[in-house]
Amino acid sequence: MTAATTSANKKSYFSVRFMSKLSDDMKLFISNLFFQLLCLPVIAGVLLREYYFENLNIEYDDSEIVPFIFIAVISFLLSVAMGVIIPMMNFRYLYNKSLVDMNYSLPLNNRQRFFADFFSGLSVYIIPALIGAAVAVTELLIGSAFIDISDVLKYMSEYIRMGTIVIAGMILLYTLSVFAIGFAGSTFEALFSIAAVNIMIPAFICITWFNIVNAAHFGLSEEAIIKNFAFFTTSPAGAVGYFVHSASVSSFNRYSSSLTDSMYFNFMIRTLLFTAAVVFVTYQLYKRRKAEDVSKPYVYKAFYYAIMSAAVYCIFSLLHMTKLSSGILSAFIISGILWFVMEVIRRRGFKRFWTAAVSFALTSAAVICVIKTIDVTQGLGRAKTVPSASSVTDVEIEMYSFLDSKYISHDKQIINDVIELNKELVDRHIHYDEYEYEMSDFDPDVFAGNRQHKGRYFVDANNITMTYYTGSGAAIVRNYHVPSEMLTDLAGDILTSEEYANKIADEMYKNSLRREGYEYYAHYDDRYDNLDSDEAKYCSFNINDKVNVGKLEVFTAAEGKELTEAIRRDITDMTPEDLRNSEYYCELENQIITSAFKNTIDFFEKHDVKYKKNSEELIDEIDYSERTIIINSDPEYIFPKVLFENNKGYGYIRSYEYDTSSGFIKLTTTLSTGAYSRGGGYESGNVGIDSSNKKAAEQLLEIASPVVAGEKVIAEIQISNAYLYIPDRPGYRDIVESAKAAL
Amino acid sequence: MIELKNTVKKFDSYTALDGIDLRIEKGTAFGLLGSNGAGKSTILRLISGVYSPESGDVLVDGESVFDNVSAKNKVFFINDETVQFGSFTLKKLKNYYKGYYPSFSEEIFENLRKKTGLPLEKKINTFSKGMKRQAIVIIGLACCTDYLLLDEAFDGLDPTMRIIVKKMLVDAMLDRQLTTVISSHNLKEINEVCDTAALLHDGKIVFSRDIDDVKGSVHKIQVVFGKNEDGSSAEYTKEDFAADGIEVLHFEQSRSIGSIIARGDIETIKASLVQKHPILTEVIPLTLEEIFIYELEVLGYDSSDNISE
Repeated sequence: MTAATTSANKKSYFSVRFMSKLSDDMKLFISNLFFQLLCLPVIAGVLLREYYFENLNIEYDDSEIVPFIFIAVISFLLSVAMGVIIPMMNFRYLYNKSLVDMNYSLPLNNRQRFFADFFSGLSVYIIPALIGAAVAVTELLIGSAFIDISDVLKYMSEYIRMGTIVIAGMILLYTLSVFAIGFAGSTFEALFSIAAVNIMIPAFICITWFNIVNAAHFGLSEEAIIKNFAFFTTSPAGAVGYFVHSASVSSFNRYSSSLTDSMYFNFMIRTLLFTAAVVFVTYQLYKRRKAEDVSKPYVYKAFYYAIMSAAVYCIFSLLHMTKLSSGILSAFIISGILWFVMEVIRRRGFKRFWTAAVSFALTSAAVICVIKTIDVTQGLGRAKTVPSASSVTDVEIEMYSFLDSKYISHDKQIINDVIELNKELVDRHIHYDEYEYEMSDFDPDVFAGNRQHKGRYFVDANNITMTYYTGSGAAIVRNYHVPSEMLTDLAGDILTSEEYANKIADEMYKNSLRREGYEYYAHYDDRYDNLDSDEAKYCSFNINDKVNVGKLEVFTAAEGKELTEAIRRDITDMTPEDLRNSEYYCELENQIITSAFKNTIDFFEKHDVKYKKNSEELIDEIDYSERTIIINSDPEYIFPKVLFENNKGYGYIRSYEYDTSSGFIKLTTTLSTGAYSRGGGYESGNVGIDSSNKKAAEQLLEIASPVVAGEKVIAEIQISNAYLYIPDRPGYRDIVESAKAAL
Repeated sequence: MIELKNTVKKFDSYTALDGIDLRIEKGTAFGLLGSNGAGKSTILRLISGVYSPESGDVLVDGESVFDNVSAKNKVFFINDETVQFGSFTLKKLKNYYKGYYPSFSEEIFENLRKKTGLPLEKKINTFSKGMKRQAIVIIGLACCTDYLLLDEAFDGLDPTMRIIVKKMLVDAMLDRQLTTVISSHNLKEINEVCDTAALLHDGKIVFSRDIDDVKGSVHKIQVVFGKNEDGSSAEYTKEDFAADGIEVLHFEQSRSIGSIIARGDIETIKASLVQKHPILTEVIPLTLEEIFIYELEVLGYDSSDNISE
């Protein structure tokens, strides 16, 4: 026989088996198709109905669609469950003795039989989903000829992308099910293996990460698991996690398209590579599996012990994390019960049961060793790891009170700033003893509420979360509590960067657009959503003054564009020093406008916008009943020293738990970019402003600012609902003193 | 030709076949005999490529059969169960196997189906046990493979059906030189259908020979011994005959009448017996079943012992 004919034979036998299996699975295919047709096509129908009513401005009852959405969700879940049922049917000869001879004696080799069974099942699982999606898209396209659904259609590529994530997750579920069945020789064990693989893989990854975070207790965050590609790409649960993550990324539109693409391709490539690796391993095991292994509970005992060891590891880890003194004993008892119950099931009795006790003892010892290793190495040294600047393409920064939301930067300068800050924090932690701090005389007993004190202390522990994204979209998350003064340079660089200028200008312009007749409507009105510039006639902006009193300014769309472009130019041209040394004027849609915003001020003046108010005007606009002022002079900003320390075993990120016994570091400057309350409690009583002290109050208000960027503060004042600072500048102390005397 | 060369098959620590050498010539009807657990089904599964041997070779027409499509294509294996076909109709089962066996003959299938009267469209799980058996035999014969392996082939068939199935097999053997390997406990059927047989015990081959040779090599001789000088009956043991060079499988004596089961040439045995001065010697033909029982008795598989236990 020639090689050509041999190859032809192999191919034809594969296709014979493939077609035969497809024919066997026809009922499953029809059921799956039925579920899929009740899913996306129903949702498409609901969307069309919604848009139809909306197009015609007809009032409709949203609750009417609830049953349809319910049907769609249930159908989808049933269809996803087919990822377990189809492999169970297609490979049932692996755990059903009566089918072994029939399948193994056919003129097929292992490869033909395995891949034909695998791909026929996969087709039965995935093709209905594709048909369902195609029907839904067709519905929308036909519907779009009669109903304006442009809002839906413009996100079609996004929906398709989300669809591919679901398909990748489904393929992974199917593949892992086949993988699990390959280890089992009976029905119960096949079902158990499928459940175990799908639960234990993500559980093992999560628990290991939690162990690392728990052991490192510096800078690592449990929440980082929801950005971890090892978690996302190795289980269906992880794929669901990525789907949710991806949906939130899309809806908030926070990431650059290149980063979103990187994440998506990273997910898809990793998931498909992992799936391919699982298929390869499954085939190798299938090839080595003997026909006579059917009816054995587990064909490969190593698999069973791996799963059980992972379960024991999870139980021990969870109880270890509780820090309870009885944790290890409880873990031993709980995992022991689980272990022995499973052993009785596996052995179908108590045969050679002493070996179960030995294996449990060995596993427990190994698990304790692993957990202790993670502890001793402080999370395998992960806390010390800071990525190199060259590997990071984007950084996401979240700083409470400095940036209104998570800020994503692609700017190399910002990335370097963050990395340098991160390195300094790690260095302070590792080489804790090499740093000297001036300690505050603040007594921890006061903090604990045991004693009153006379000083004005403000705990300045600001939270910063930095998420580094590498070229592949993988994320490294760090979370620290730092004194805000350490953030001054970073905040200055961000707030004067071109990237920030573009982000702020674009967002501000987009958010300000209004249709005619709706220029004074509040933001939550959905008539503003996704408004294009060609549809808008006006732009409206909130301008808040120093004491947080706002006013809505309305311009034409062209003027709005002019204003936001002026802001763009101002921020781009500004240096951090310019910003730091400028005088505060107002806040325009959360963007601070200072004397450094030359073009913006020109615009305001040209359009007669009151951007700067004198103190008399400011006091007058405060409601009479609220005309109170609180002055805290010579406040001292302090930072719990323990948050830098290297030898404490409690959760670093839980600031509310920190032990204050090691004292507080005295800080020299502070940073704030908004009129927010810093907390910490003001001890002075309220003082009403009246004609006798109005002048002193005005003088104080004149020099007070909601912004302080890396300066020493000589007083904090609260007036109405605004929190303002008096920086340490020439002559300011005298004003504070005279105000204190007058008030 | 099917060959097993020094084949060992183990199930965990249990050795099912221990260095088996077996040769089944093309065109023969080969019977596999043996006690329960002797390894008959294991041999059939090795030949059909279901099992792989731990060591040794299992060859079909010179090719190793395990995981070898072309070798497996020449073999059709019918095991002792029919439950696996329950969800099929006969028509669906035909189409199922037709795809795998390019030599499948619709004509043979239709002829045999008409002879048996099996319905095409009814689910096989509605068939009686005998009908299920017929159905799969029909499929096996219609696949027109060179080798047909049947494990407990005649189980569940009524006497009429047994004749029909046997006739179908014999016709196929005659028509197209089909090689049939049948494992069965029913020695009568093996005797009727097979021309060659192998006896297995404890994973080893006791003999593998032409059935006529088997029958010709083991003999039952009834002997009436003369009396001693004192008038008492002469008493002999198995060892007395062994000392005379007779390979005795079984010996029993009641008074002066002895019954000897011996292996070897009958004339040589008779000549040896002359030394014991028998009054009468009569050779009684043995059935295959009797040979099976006596051969296994020699190996310690004694039915009387088992019953008494």
